[in-house]
Amino acid sequence: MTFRPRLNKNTLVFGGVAAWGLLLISCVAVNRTMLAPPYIAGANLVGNKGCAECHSEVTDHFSSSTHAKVALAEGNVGSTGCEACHGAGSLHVKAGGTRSTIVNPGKSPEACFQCHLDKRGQFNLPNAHAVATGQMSCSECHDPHRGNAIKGTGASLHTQNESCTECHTAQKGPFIFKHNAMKEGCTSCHNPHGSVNQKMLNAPDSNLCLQCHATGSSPGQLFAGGRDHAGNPVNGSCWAAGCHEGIHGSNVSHALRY
Amino acid sequence: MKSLNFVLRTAGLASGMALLSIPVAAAEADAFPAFDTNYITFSAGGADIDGSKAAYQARTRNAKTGAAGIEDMRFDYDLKDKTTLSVNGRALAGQEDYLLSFKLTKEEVGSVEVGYKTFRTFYDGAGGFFPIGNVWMPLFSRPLYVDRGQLFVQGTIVMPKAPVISFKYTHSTRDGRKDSTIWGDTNLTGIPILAGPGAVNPIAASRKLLPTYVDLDETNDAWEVSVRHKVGNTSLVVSVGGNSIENRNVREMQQNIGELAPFPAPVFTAPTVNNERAGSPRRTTMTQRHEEDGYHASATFETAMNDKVTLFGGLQYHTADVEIGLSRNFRATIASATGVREYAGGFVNTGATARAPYHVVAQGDLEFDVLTGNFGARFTPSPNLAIETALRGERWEDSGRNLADYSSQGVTLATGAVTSYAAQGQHGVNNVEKPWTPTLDVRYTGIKNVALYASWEYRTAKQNEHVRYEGLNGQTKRTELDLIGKNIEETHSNAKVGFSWAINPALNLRAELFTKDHENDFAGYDDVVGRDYALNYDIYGTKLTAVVKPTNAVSLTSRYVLQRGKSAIFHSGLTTNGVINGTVDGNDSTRHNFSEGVTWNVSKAVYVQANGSVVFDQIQTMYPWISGNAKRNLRNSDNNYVTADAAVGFSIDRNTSGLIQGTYYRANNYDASYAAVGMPLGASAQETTVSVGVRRKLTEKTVLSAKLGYVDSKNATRGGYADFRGPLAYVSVQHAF
Repeated sequence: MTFRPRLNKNTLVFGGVAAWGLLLISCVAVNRTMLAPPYIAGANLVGNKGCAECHSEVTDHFSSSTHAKVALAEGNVGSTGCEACHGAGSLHVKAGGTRSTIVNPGKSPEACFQCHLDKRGQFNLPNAHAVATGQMSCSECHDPHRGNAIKGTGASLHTQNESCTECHTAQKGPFIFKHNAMKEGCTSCHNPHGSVNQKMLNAPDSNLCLQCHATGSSPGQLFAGGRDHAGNPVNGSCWAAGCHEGIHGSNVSHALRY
Repeated sequence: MKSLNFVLRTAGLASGMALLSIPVAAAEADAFPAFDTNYITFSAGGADIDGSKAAYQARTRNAKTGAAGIEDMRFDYDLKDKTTLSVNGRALAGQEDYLLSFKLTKEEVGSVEVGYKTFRTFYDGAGGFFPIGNVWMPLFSRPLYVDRGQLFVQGTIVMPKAPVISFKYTHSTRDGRKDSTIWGDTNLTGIPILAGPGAVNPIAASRKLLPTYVDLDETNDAWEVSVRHKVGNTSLVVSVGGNSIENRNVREMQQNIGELAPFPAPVFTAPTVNNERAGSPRRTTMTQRHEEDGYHASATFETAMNDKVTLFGGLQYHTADVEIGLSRNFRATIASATGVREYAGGFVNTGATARAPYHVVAQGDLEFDVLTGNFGARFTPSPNLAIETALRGERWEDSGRNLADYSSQGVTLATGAVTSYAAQGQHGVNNVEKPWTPTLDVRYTGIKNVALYASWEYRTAKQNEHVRYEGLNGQTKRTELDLIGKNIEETHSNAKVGFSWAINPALNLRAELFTKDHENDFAGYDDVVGRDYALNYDIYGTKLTAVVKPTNAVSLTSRYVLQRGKSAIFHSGLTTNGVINGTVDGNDSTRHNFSEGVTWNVSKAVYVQANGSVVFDQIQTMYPWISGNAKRNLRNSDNNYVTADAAVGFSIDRNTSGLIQGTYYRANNYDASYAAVGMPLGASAQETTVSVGVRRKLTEKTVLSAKLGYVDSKNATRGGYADFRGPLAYVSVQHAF
């Protein structure tokens, strides 16, 4: 006989009661401080000036950052833009800069998720970069300290796609036959934060392509570009085998086949 | 009755929450030790999974075998002369997650760090599920995973009153097999095939379901040296670097595996239902080689002219040479009068219009040069006003050529005669692009507790792209005109405006409106003079955020993101029968994302965190305005989902903490009825995880953690073949020295 635990109503009710019981006991029995992450127990705000004493290479440029735009001064300590993400810094300053007294969003996305709640949900989807499991961090694609948080936008010397192609070099090109959607950015087709669809695609089917490739058609026809594709969605996606597999670009096929 | 139960349970929970809210007298905090250095954490974890272990690995990123080893370690050694050696490490066998780095830091001199890290990502190799015939074809039993590794050497020399010199070298690799969504055909769908007299190939049953995979072998060596120095009020950064990419990726695609069109073809009287296997099994092994050697150099400056004006700018040059090579090894198995044989580039030769799937070998080279510059100014005319404006310019040029040898074998079924075709095609590209992008950013904080901001960027680009294509059309080489040009013009305007308002310590509101208006015009589209294609798309929306702190112990964050997208597509010069030139609606998409987060420090001993997102996402393209069979075969694309997670952390005694966690995910976009007329199907799944953990301080230097959990995942999109469930366990010991 195999034990197969199931998540049924009884499990939830009894489990819940047991859990709440434990919590009640803990409330009356202990007084040790428990704080929800990413907060620092016992720390107070010190303001950006305190941070600049050691981290001037970061704070010098912070005023140009996307995050600086929403930062406001607080109380007697002035701007607390740094501590909005890194947690209150008094213990960190007092300890001379130890790691355990400050929140490091580069190690855990929890600090970012405090405001970017929608991204927390996306990173928990089945198809997402490995941020929720800690193998990647938000700062690999975003610069929270300088300029636009989305790297490569605005007047930056870099381009937005470089964040992606730094790792995904096979999709970088250049190719002899380009897919100009790449110029609009990888995010034209992919959601890098996560998607319900495989490969983080914004849509699992031909709609992904038809957003840009629809053409006026006679009744019963579905023109994409210069050809009727009415029968093709029956079989599968536009990029399925035998069709436009070289969707990031091709060196032999004008129609982006491999 | 169900609703009564729900009410009772809800009431019970509410009573519990109310009890928990009773304030408890505060006592001295007795925090757990937080080890900064000289500690090591051993851990082991595993699961007893019932169902698809491959899906479990892909979804959770955990190895089905479990993992054990050193989860984290750090040691710092004080050497003589104000020098410190730091060692970081991780070694989780099973998970194949490793890190080892050494960092030597000397005060007022700098640091150097050497290390290697790698982690493994799993894939399940699943293709599509076809609900009508309950068809699921897991062709590949071999493990699918990719190891991403990086060897790194980096350092900084920071001497007093001297330029700061930084250097970095990385050797990055991606090695292993991963799945792909480029699925292959099958006729084994269980759909009765309506065949006419003499028909061999099915006309309606084929679906692209067969899984495919890519064998990755990628390396990227990159180095950069930069010098940063401040002279007076000017900061200068000069960098040089290079990279060398070597990719040799092999894609394995299969079509109609397990089928064979019989010879002689069975004769039917129409309409006849035929369930015979009726394809030509085809295997394609596609190898792509990309070897790139590139160099870049850049220089940037930032000068504070006075308290109110700062100028900045820079130049960057990037050049690279690329060798490209590819082979498409295509083999088809065909039954003819001479029996069943495999042919390279094989196809059934039905005459001059037969479309051959060619065997290809090609080799060539590409080069690109990119010169980018920017210049801007930052003004702060008053302490409450900051204005930044800049201009970016770029000249991108790439060119290349590729010589392809095509070959195929046409088989005449009635005789078994084979006709070999061979052709050579020269492909080429010359492309020059010149975008200009002015930008403007404004921030104003002159209103008490309010920050107002706006930003705008406007990119215009003119691009001239000439391509040469000598591909194949039917059995013979297409006589493509040489170097037909495509003139591309882009106009991209992106803008946003928003505010952050701290109404009081308990309430902060943020709102942002954003818009993108992009137009891309392609004159000479598809290499035809006089043909024009213009894509105009607008994206607009809003982000609304409210942070509410009704008490010092409670924080609620609400966020709503609305994004609407519309595109209009214009075509002229198309002459194919049935096509209508003019403007059509290409896209009308809507996404509503509601997210809520709650953090409640119930007492000094208990906290509760909960987060959730509800998303309604639909992409609509041609479905509203096409008709007949075309409309029957297309649907809007729904990508809705719900995610939630909750955690309750609490103290059990002075030395023990508990943590109860749960997660939930549900997507319901699957419409099995659509399988009759279209593929692939939308994503539907439901997942729940629960876990209970404890953390106990054994001594001042040793902490024990343990966690038990359960995961249950059901995936309707894959017909239940990727479901998994089972208990999870994890234990760790952290010890400081």
